Amino acid sequence: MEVGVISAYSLKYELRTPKEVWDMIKEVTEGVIRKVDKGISEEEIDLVIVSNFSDRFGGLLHTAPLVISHLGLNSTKGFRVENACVSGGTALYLAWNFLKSGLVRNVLIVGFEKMSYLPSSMEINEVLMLAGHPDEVLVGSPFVSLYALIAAAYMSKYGVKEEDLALIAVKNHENGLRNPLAAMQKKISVEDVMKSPYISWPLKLYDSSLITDGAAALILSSEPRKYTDAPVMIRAVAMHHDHPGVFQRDDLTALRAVKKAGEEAFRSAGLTPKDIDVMEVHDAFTIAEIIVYEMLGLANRGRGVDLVRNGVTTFNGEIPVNPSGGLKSKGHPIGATGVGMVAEIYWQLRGEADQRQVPDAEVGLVENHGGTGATSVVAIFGR
Amino acid sequence: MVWKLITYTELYTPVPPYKSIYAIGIVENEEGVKRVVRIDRKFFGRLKTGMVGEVTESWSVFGNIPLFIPSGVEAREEKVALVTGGARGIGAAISIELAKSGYLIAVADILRDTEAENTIKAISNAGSKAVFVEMDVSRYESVEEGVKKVASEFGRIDVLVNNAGITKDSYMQRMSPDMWDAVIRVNLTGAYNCSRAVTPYMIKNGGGVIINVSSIVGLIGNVGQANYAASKSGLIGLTYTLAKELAPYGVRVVAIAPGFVKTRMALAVPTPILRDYLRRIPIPRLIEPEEIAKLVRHIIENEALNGIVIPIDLGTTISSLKA
Repeated sequence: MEVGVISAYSLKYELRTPKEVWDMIKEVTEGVIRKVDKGISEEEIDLVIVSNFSDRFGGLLHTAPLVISHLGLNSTKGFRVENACVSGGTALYLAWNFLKSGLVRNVLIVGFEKMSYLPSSMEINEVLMLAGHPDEVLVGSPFVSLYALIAAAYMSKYGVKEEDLALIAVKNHENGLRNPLAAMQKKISVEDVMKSPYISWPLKLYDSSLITDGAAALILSSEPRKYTDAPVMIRAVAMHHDHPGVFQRDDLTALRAVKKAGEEAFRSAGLTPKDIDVMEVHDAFTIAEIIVYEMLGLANRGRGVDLVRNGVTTFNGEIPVNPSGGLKSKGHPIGATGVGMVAEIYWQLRGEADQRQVPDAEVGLVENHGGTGATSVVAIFGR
Repeated sequence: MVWKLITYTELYTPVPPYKSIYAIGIVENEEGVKRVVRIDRKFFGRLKTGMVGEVTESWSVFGNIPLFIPSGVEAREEKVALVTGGARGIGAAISIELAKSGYLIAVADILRDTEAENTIKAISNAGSKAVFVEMDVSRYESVEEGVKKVASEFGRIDVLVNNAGITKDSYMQRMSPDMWDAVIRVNLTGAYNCSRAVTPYMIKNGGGVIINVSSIVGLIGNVGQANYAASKSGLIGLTYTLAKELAPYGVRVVAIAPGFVKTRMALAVPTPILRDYLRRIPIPRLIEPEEIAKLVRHIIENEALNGIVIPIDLGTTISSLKA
């Protein structure tokens, strides 16, 4: 059974939105229904999946019935998913499986997070930290430190420098300048990254994604052509896991879940990395994007940084990665992140990405992971 | 059991519930078992992949935290104290006392005169080393330059004593705006300038202590000293605030509030007023600068002291009706 994305909608991500979270949810719900080319009625939505990491980031729980009630309280069913930073990817995985099974015909996915609901980044990091292994929580290791452990091990193993990691931040900020939805539209240089303060050595402020408020929504359908003549078809969605603790892994510099999910997605879609025209990947920290290149088979181990250095993954390169600006510049409102990544690929494959449009993009890939890669979802889309 | 450090990170952003900075590492034993561990911030700058050590458990209300202690790494190097107004009076006594405790001393003062030379000599006689830093604490550029000099000379700064102070006494109605500004600039803005400039160095070292020399006048007021009293009260507010802001980085901030100390500043007070003052306090004498210095040393050593004002006043505050 073919499954396609028939609509996408996103708020502009913001560092600190004045909007209430319920208003954000309503806005993307109404927006995504309005954007369906041939129209869809509320009662045609069979399932609502809400993606939200924590009620500490918005102060709301049990949000699926709120959305369903807003849609008119038809026979729609719904629930919330939480899988750390891959909550959005998990919602996609579930929606795709529900649709393939024939249990439902149309699924609405709403992702949101209002991280500024907590007053300080210290408190925000405390909540995020809980997505690690209990031993990592016990020693008090926030996510930046866990990625810093990975980065330090990677740099030592492959002779990569902090300046190399900085290239990812520079590229994604450059891309974000073309995206009106990006939270931080600011051009930065390698020097700016190097001058930014260490958060957890060797990672600096500018190696880190943004604490962001945002919401995004998608509608997926098993009868996509009934609603649009230009659906974006889902060619594969794969989910895999790794040990949650960085210390539990045989190779500290690998993201096994990404590798496994990538391999399965390429196999299911009958494609190879060379077939991908545009990608949105999970650059929670600069080191993550480099390792993701390697896990997805774009580069050999230890050579990921060559892709950005040689311009392969820059906006005008062979495989532009994160034309939206990524988590680094567009932002990372946890529950909305994966949903927003799919929205970006939807617009890219429909030729609706305006200034950031990758020319002739026909096949796109989303890689969204949670924790330090304990869960990864890789999805491939085509026109 | 021997554990080897295979990767580590120094965390500079404190996270609740611990609200503290430390290093985090992954260690591995000979059987290939790996653990995530915490490493005390005193090892900042001295960790290396491949180091060996042992893992102990440190009790906390949140659970027993595995702590890696690298072998063969001295926890303490020579420590450095920067004392403003360190050439004379209370500042000189503090400089000499800390030198006796093994501190390298940066004597910051506005003028390198005979008193400054004598203090530097006394530090040297106490078996330590001193560097003189010409510093006008009221100007941030001067402070920044001086602090850089100390860091380049001694490599670190562990203790800052904000001691530099002046008086320009007069009844408020006769006190010119210049008199007001001058005292606030040196006594209060000076402490802000110095605290701001040294904090990054302290964080990089894994912590430090800032001691603000306030005064009982900042607690109870004093006729003829509106500017001085306001500056010394201001130091107390600065102490409380910095103690909250910097605690996560291992920097403690404490104020002391001396009564009249036997220094040129106190002896400049007209004799009848001094005599009257002594009549009203339980122990009728002046405090020796060395007594202040001993308290400063204690504050540095006692890691439980933070965010408080300690009067050292022979009982002045209990005898005062604030009138």
